[in-house]
Amino acid sequence: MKKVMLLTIFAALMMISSAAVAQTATGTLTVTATVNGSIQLVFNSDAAGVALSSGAGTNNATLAFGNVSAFGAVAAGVVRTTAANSFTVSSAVDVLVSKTNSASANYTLKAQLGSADATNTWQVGGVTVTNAAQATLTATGTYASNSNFPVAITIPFTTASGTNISNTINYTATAN
Amino acid sequence: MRAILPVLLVGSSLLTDGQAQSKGSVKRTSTAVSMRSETQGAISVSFISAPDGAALSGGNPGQRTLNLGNVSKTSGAQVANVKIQAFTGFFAVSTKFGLSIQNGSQNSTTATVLAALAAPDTAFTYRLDGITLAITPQLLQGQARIGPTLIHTLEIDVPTSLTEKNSQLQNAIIFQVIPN
Repeated sequence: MKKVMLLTIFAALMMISSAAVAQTATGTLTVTATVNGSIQLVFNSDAAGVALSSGAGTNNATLAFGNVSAFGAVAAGVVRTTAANSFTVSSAVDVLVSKTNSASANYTLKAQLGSADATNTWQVGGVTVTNAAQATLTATGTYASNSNFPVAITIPFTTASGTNISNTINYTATAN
Repeated sequence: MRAILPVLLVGSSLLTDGQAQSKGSVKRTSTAVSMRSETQGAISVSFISAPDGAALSGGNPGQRTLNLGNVSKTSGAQVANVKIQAFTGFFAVSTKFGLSIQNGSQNSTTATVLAALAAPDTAFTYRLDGITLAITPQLLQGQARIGPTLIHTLEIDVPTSLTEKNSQLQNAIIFQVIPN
């Protein structure tokens, strides 16, 4: 009986001993973050319009119409209409607005000229834009889809030949 | 009972990693004493802020918090040393932190490091040094050196389909270190 008792105690101690040898340590690293929803706007060349000369796929692009005139040849992708006292050149430009981590159903797109132009008239997507205030191009823009908002400039016949026309159009997309 | 005493001596010696004890101390040997001895030689884990990682907070070296702050696919991160990489359908948030293993008994030079998520997370994917974490422990390192601080990279994949409703990320990574 004593032998059995001794063996039992010894076995128990050996188990405790093994547990001590196989000691482990634990550490806990708590990780926290807050995911913010966001939207992104980029310009893309439209197949029907003038290719963006720089910045395609970014939010800072350049559209160069090249030499334009009321009756002479214009570059491929430039659409021209001539009126009694002016002519208008336009080109298709795609605007792509993408959303991430947002339940927003659509977006509002507004545009505004960077600086005043007292001579020429500017339109984006058929909406006249000035530097005075933002003009709403759409209030129900579709995410993740190239939307064509043609850029048009109406130039009076009185404009001297060789006149350089340059301006900036600032676009703002807001999630609805 | 006289026959039991020698057995207790052997057991105590094992529990205290073979440290010499005088006869006097043997008389006071008990389970409580043995446990204290084990604690002195215990292995421990400390988290340390990496020089190029987000700062850790919390006073307990073995239980710290890594707050990655506000993160966004297009706006990036606002916390220093938190990086954002954009991919189709998700973005990855990453940072680095240090893990130091100390072993008081000095019996081992390397250890096995396992890591597991404290809670299941179906929204986010957590990776440590490229190893995807789950609630079951995953082998992070089989031969981690004991002593020096080892830098680890934590990456979290955030699907762009997540919305404001489930924008809070909170979980814990439990590290288990076993001396080799």
